[in-house]
Amino acid sequence: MGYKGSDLAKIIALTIVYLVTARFGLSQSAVGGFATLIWLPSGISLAALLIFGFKLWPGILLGALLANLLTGAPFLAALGIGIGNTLEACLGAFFLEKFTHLRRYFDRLKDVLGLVIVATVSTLVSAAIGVISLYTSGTLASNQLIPTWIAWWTGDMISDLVVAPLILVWSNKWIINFKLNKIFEALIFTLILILIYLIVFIDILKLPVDIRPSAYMIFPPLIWMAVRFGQTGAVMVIFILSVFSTLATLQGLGPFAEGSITENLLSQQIFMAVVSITALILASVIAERKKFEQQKDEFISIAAHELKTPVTTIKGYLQLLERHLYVEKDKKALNYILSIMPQINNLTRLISDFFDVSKIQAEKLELQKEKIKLDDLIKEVVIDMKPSLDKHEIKVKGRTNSFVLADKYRIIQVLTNLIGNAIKFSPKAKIINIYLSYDKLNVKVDVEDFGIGISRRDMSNIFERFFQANTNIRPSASGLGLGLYISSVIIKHHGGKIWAKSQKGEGTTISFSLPKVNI
Amino acid sequence: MSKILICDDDLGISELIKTILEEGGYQTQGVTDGKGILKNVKTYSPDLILLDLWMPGIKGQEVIKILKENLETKNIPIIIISALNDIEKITSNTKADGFLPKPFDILDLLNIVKKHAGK
Repeated sequence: MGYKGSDLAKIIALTIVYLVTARFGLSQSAVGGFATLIWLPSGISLAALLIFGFKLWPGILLGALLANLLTGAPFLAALGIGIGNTLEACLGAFFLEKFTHLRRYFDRLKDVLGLVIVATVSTLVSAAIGVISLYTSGTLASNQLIPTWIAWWTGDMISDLVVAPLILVWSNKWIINFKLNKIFEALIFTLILILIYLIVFIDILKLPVDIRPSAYMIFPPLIWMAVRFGQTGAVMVIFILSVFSTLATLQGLGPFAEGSITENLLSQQIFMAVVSITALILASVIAERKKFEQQKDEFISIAAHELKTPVTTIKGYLQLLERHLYVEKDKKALNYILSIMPQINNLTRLISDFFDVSKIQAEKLELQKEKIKLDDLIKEVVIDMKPSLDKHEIKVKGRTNSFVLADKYRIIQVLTNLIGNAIKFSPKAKIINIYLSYDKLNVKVDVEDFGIGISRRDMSNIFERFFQANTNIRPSASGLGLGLYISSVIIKHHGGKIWAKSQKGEGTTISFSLPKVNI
Repeated sequence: MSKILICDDDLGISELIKTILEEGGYQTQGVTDGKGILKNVKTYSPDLILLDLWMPGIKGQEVIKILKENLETKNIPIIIISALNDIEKITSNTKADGFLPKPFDILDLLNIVKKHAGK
């Protein structure tokens, strides 16, 4: 592989970062002088190779060599350690690229499981080579072999599990969504985490030892983070927790401070490994689910578009046919066409409803709000519906004299749906009343029918998705139960309210209110 | 007789629109993609363009941008005819002169054509 100037710069940068973080780690209670539990370089090396490619390996070798020489290792031992550490990162990166085709987002379970395997297995290699190098050069006494090896392995493992995912996930281009409620949630979350940290690790409550809060208290907020903020949040929290819990443990504080510093650090690091794996797995599973839902939504929106194409052709030719039959005065054939037409319109509406529901589910319902004179809009809708009315008459009573800030087409959709329902569920009645009223803050629209009504049992569910009341209306007229659900979501998105009153057998009134705007 | 250029990648729809408009007394030409419009617009010099948005190759929005930025074509009205659910919002983000959602009523098609292209 050929090296360019920029590669050289990256190798030098990696060497420096490795050297600095390694020196820092080795200065913190290293076991046998060379194996530290606070070991950032392993994760950094693994991430560097995965992001910039394998050709950065000399940076690891050089960094490790220099760090160990400066700590006092003989040259051959330092070289051995360097080779071991380089091999660890190369093997890990190779495995992740070859077998999991790692996506640096950790949004698939297999990437997380791959990382767990790499963190536990590839680190065995460098720990073994490192300890043997030190032993054969006479730097390490035989009674320190095992503890050194364990500290080495654990330190590298936790580094792969905590540091590598942080760098890898945050090395991606993220479109960060600064929604106010999300920021607020993150703030509350941070406060809770700080509180738990203070209770668990700093013991601010000074509780007696036997009821001292356990480290496992951090799981609920951690899981919350993984669920709500995904991998970016999870890796960040894992890293921060890892840093602070290490600091506390080093000072002999917290639930892991019970034996020697090395023992304490070991159990704290193992705990962090468990925390990290749990959060990463959870975040990846959630990400997989989200992706699946997104694919589903895309599918529905494409399907809705594609379904409308044949419907367009059918409707168009039917109307052409209708015209010809009209000219030829074929009344019987005309009647057949007139029976088909409402069904075509039903079909179109169902397709649109499906699309809307998929949007609502994906939280992608966007409103283009403008100032609307509600009274005029309602009159327009009623006039537009007139030609399709069979025997019903729609009476508009009262006025709102008000403007609302609303998405015109969405409000038309709500009105059409409510009036359509009123007609559909009052097959024997003749009148549909629309009452308009207002108070200081809101405008109110009531759509009243004198139809079959809704039973008390069904009332609480009518705004639910896919809900169908038990009616004797023939199934073809009753639809999918999406209309009221969509209407209620639209009204709520406008900051309004929607509710229903009904008496079985006497009729139903569906009402909604919207906030008024001043002219 | 006003000339209407129709662009839809679905031949069934493009044939349907041609039939309706020709019965309504218009002269029509159909193309199946954005390239077809850009190729034909100057030679055919239509009075109105009916345009689908989802097409292979150049997207409808791009076609509108090109036509509306060109001095020779910027005065030709463009009506979007699309099955996309958010057609009114999409239209407001372009320089198109109007829209007609699919599936449409024959009368709505004839009315919007009459409004923008005359008789």
